[in-house]
Amino acid sequence: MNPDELSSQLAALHTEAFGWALHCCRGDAGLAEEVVQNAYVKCLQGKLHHDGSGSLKVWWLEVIRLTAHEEWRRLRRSEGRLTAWLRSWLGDADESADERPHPARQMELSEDAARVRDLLSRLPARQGEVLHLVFYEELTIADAAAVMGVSFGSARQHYERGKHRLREWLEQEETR
Amino acid sequence: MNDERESDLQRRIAAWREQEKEQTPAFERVWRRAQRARQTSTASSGWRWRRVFGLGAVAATLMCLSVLWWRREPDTLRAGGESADALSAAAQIAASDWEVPSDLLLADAASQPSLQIAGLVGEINSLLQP
Repeated sequence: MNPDELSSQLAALHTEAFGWALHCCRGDAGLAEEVVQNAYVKCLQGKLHHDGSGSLKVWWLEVIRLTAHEEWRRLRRSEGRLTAWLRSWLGDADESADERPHPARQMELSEDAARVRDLLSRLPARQGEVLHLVFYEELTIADAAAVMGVSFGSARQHYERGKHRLREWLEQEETR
Repeated sequence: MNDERESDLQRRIAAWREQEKEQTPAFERVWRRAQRARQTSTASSGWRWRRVFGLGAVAATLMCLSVLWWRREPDTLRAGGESADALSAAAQIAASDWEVPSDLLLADAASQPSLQIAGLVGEINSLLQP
């Protein structure tokens, strides 16, 4: 695939890729942009090839997920054990484990959108991922399972549980 | 009821999705940065090889120096042997009430430092004798 062709194909998936990267980076827009950029670098270096067997979108979202995990690992390594220990000693451990989106990011979205984003991010990781892929990326549960690297049955279970929990939360919000 | 909830959720997610789309960084900008990062990483991989060769050269030099040091070791041992000889000669002289044994005096003093010390002790001894 020549660079122009590659560029045009990736451009068509850019918005979806960024949205997914944003979810994988727990709402950190700067990190999400870096993840997408690193995925592009991998493509330019010829390290990634889509064999054409499945959907390009599914393959690309899987690449983004793996790149985001690499980035998290790199950040955690660079943070170092000493910093982590100092943080826990200073009592910031709960803050670092908070999976809710970056506060600055939440401010940018409207109240309603931010609430949805907040509710999704409160779900367990797998449930949040599958709901994001199905509702936001408009994938089927089977495709979401392929992106997440889990079986179809497992993805379906996460989907049902996540949806059930979201419904409960929405009901609780409305009764308040 | 469930369908209503689901459609409500989908509507909210769609609204959120639209808002996030607007905030997506432009593809061209990210793509250009990726191209620059790729060029930088190619250049840095060249530097990486140079570093590997440089460290290899330093390691080889250190290894050569350690081999040379190891080959020097017998001389060092010999020097230690000489000190031991001198000490034993001094002990011998002291034990014989500061009289230098004749075998030590007869030996070739120039070639053996231990005997040089023995000769020196003998001279001091003779000066101290009334």
